[in-house]
Amino acid sequence: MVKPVTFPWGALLPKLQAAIASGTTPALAATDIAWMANMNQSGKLVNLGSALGGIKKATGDIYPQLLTYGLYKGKLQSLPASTNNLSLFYNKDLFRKAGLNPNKPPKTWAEMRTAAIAISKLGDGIQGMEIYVQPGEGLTWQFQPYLWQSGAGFLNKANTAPTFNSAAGKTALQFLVDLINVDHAATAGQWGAFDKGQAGMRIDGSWMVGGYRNNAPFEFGTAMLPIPDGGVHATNMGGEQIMAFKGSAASQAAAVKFISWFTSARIQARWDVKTNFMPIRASVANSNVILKHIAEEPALKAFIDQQKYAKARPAITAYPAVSDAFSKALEPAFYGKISVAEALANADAAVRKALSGN
Amino acid sequence: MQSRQTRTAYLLIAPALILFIGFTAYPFVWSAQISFTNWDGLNAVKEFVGFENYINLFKDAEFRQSLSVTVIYTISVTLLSTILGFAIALMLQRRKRTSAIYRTIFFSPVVTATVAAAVVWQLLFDPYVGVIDLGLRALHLPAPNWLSDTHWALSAVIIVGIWKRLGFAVIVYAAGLSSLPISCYEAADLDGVNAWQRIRYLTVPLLRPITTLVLITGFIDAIQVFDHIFLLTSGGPIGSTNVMSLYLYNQGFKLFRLGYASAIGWTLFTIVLALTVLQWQIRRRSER
Repeated sequence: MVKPVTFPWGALLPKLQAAIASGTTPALAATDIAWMANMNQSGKLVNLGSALGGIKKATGDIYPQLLTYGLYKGKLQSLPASTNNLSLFYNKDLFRKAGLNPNKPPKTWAEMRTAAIAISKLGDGIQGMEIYVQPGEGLTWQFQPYLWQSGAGFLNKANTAPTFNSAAGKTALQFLVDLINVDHAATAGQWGAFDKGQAGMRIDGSWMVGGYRNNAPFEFGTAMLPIPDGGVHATNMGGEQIMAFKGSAASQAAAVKFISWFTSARIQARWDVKTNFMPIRASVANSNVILKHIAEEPALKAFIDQQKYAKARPAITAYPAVSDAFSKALEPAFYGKISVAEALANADAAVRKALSGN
Repeated sequence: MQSRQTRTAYLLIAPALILFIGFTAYPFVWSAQISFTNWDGLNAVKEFVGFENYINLFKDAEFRQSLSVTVIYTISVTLLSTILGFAIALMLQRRKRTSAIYRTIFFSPVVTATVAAAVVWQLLFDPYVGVIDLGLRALHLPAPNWLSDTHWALSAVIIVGIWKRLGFAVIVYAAGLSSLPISCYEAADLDGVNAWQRIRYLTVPLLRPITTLVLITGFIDAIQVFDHIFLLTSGGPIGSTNVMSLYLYNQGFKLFRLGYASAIGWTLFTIVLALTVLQWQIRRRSER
């Protein structure tokens, strides 16, 4: 029998750390991909490749870019449970009020800026665009798409040095900083204005679609992320990995059986319909269940179209420290306390330090 | 007979002792061990690094900032809640009939679940719909964005800290006031002492042991603050409310630096211990 236990996103990691330290690991767990590099080193994960008759057989038609997080020293230690990406959410009611076409969401940064300024002119504390500025992985993962779209990188290919401190990186950060401090079309502060109908636009994941459909006090739309002139499409890839922990033979066998069932095309299609996550397999994406679901929920189309531009964050153990250092160095720039050049230079130094393990 | 009595005694304290060893003593020693490693909380290997974590701690600008935020928070909350608590207890003393009702009102924040209170405070501090800013605007005063402004966020969490702590000070002072010897006040009345002099030269000195108690427990309580700050600002903006226990939590459970986090924990413990010993000394000297 499977006994499911769910935790808020932030509480799961401490629970797993305690479980691993005290030898009381569950039979299996699903966690954020951003933590997988650390989970992989625990020495407590079951080799799913050998348990499921080889990596090829275990993974089948799962998209190859989703396998990065599960592979460790040539072993498959986890499988994707779900995947997702960031797209643009916008408030159609506020678009109408500001005299914008609610069926023509912005496609470029310039259009996004124009729309944000128009909406912020509505007054009453309404922001044109809500920007995530609280330090931590939230800020980093929301900002990375801007870097990639403008042609900047985050880390080099070997994940040994930062590459964001470039002209393109400055363009990306300056765009958001100006939206806040020059255009006054956004405020640096707490997250949540869009949910209350107090912001015209926000970048967020497909898991928000169901909640907004049922509860949002406004009509919402979604679109692919706007890109700068001469830029490229890019978004961030989110998701969870499912893994089995070493234990008794019976518990391991049961956990592996569950993972195999859970990641199967049939169950994944049902999972995606319930959660609005994106398909992990081609066969799921093309299944009738999913095609029908997308037809019924048009807000998902942007996410589906965008998934092919989703980039994976570095799968290295230093990533949590890198992301934290990066976000903390950028935060003062959003508040207009330091220049964009200074923030990126600070971030560059802090990320190098985090990569070196100090 | 003697040995049987001893055995019974051990048996009786066993439940408390087991809980103490399991949930206090053992983790205490274990975290000291961890603080000398670079363990990430997950890795099978715990590499010994000597005093590296402690040395890095004193070079860490973020830690120094969190230390100064903690000091400002602790002193503000402890002193203001003590002074206010004393003033309120004095006022309640005069309202004999209704004082029980007021004491209940002032004590209710102490027993209110912090999560519930934080949600309410978040609404109160909201820059657009919050009662506080609506009130300030009605009075034509500047209405700050409390939780998102680097100049105001610390004040906001200090206000909540005082609100949470005040009730305890009121109750303890009220109890202290009711136990003061009436004869002293009668003698003062005969000497024609005014109200302010009564407070200054009688009440305050007579209540000194109570004040010491309120201050010591207040300091220990405030220096370890975590919950309402975690919920209201998560330490932001730009680290302006990043108290030590929050910094510890983020290092240990978000950045996988359990060794470093343990070193922060031990530094915090050393500070609390030093303060407590200091206050004890002061108290003993003042009692002599």
